[in-house]
Amino acid sequence: MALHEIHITINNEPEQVAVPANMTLMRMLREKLALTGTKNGCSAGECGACTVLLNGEPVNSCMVLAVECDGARIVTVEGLASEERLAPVQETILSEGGVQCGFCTPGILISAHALLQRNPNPGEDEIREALVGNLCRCTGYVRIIESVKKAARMQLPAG
Amino acid sequence: MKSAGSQPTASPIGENAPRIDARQKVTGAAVFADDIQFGDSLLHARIKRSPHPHALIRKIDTARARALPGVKAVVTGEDFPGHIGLYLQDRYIFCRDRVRYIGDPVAGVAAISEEIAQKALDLIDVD
Amino acid sequence: MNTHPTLPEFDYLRPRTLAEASEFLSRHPGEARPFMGGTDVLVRMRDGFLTPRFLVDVKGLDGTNELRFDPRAGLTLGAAVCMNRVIASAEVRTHYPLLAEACRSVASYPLRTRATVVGNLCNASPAGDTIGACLVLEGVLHVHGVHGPRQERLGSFFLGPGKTTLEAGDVVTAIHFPLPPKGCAGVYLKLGRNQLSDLSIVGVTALGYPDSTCLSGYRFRLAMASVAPVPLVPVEAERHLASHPITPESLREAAQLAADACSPIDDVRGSARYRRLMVRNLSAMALAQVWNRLTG
Repeated sequence: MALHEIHITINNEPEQVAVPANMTLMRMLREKLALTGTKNGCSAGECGACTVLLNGEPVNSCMVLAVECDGARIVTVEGLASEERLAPVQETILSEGGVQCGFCTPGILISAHALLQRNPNPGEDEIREALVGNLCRCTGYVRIIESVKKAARMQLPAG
Repeated sequence: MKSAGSQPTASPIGENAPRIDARQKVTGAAVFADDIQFGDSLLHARIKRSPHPHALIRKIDTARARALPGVKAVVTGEDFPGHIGLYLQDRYIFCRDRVRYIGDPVAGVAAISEEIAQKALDLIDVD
Repeated sequence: MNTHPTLPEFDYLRPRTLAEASEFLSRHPGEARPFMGGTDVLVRMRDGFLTPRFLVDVKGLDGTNELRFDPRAGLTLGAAVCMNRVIASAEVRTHYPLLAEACRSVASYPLRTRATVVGNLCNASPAGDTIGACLVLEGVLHVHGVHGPRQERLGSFFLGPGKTTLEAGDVVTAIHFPLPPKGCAGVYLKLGRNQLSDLSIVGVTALGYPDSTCLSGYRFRLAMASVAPVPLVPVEAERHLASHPITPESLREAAQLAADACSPIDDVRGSARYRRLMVRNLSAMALAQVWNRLTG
């Protein structure tokens, strides 16, 4: 199978990767770039463990071919924190007990982060709808939803 | 995160102590089993399993699988004559003369990639 | 069991023009397949149901990325427009809320960043959530084939599970919806194993609008998902509603006719018997809701 040379920006770093056509974005991140924060839960677009931001929008990276991402901007869980601090959703999911085994956490963080970007003050129903594609077997979701609410409050301008 | 006005010997009961590995998990740094990087020398294995619930194995031909570039090892029950088992050593690692359930392992392949290992499995002829 | 299911090998190409795409596809019938978001194609390939030698990326071709509402002509929805964009569009929400409602019932937000309405139609699963809305809103497909552009009506588009009238060389570029009937109200009721995100066990789309040619003064259009080899329009039920005054009884009778028209199967999500009963119940609910909105 021929290799396709793609140029892609990952967490603000430009990369050049040679990928076969049948390699998904998820596999490229994990196998070619050792960015293993993004997890493989189902390879079918159902569990959300592989969620990353593609040009600012969350996608199941197991459902995107790497070769389609030539010229794209990708953000993974490794790119949510800045040099100095964690993103609000990372801080709150940590402090509110929304992490147990941690396998769903990267996908949840990406989906939650994207939600707060497009809707800075979501209600509970909106949070639930935004996270419906991120399955968690450990927490029962309540702590996760509380942590997203808290992150939203943190980000809202005071007063 | 200590409660306000706590003394140096305050009890941990009632504390909100974050999970010891939570920070690694939220940054993606936590290493799960599939995240471990082994480098290029890692081989990938696949097992050929019986589609029959009970059948005799008359012949296994692994020549085409061995010939596939990238395949490092192909094994069958012939390579492991001894019995194994936890309390009673009464089973084979790979089936030798018959299979006893759908999924009973018949042969194994180790190759330099998952795709090559999978392809090699299809090249093993089991009669 | 393969714990790391990977995609089979194939060649990927991204033609720059519609003509190039059609030409390539027609030259490789049966082994080249166009794809948009890939949310159905990639899954089916992984499971071994599809083994194309070539995957042809038709995103970004002429007209496939536009979402345009013309107050005189209606809505043009490009084939590559993802469902999230449809849901977020103020024009869709104002003029075609049923379409937005149907899109919202699909999977999850990240999946809808890739999934497209046209892809949902071309995949032709009887469970397709947006197909019912497209049928009742009388969507028309714009197709580019080897002989150039043409249009296809949805009523005759679906031939069986996964089968449509499209031929090698065809690329659907958009779906066009005429202006919705004045004063219409629609609803999509989806029964699933969970509250959000599953494939439907049964899906009922109902649209009603004032129509003086009907006895009651209102016409209804219905479509059923997951209860037949194709997305099903229960014409007897529609006819019944068009020719009778609308009462709780005639709505119930129509719901029963809709259930009678179905030919559901047993599968992992539900039994045929359950589906038939649910079609009846959900149709009654959907019709009642639409009727209340039309008259309330």
